Amino acid sequence: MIEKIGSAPVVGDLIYRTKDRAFDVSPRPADGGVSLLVNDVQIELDEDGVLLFVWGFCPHESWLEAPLPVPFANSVGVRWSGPALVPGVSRRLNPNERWPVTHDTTTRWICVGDPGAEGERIAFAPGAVLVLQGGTLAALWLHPQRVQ
Amino acid sequence: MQVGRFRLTETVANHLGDVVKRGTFKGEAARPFLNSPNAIQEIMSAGKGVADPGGVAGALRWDVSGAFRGSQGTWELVMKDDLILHFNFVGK
Repeated sequence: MIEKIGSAPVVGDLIYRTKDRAFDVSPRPADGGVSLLVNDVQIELDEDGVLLFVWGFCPHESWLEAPLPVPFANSVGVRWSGPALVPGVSRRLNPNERWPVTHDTTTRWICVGDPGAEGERIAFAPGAVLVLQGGTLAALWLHPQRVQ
Repeated sequence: MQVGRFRLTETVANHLGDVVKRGTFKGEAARPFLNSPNAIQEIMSAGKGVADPGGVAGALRWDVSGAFRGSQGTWELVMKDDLILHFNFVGK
């Protein structure tokens, strides 16, 4: 379960490193060390369970190209309120199957999961929007400021 | 970044320095396995890698049952040649 808290805690830019096939945040925040996982994309948390930023492996080779609307969202901090997490141990949010990754070359948005998923949209971290359905993640939208 | 005979991508290497700030593992690296060529070798030895489902040509993926810090789970490793693209432990 994911619940809303105060303001989003981290500032910076979401980037996509093409050679690494991975997202990262610049400048690199100091906190982190445990993560929630969607496919191989990590949503990094601090030790209070606050979702901080997004990083990790997301190969562009398997992205589906399709138009994606800009996902208007409220900027709010969020916290993991599920079972306790152990440092260095990720918790997978999509255990049953890999979610599709859709990319729009015009808007430069990327959606991990169902782009049509309805729910509350929360801009919780640099370049990152969660779609929540009753506290459960339905999709993760990403908008890198830079592609390197 | 070189780890034994393996290399880490810049993105993976950026998380070598994450340190646990409190609790049982305070002061330890959050993900010490990132810096362990032995762990990488053991995962690779535990089974045959499969073609990366993410579509990176020539990359192989291993998903191997194991344990870390008292949690049961799965070691996930994606590698192309000697370059580690993804290395993670996912709890059950």
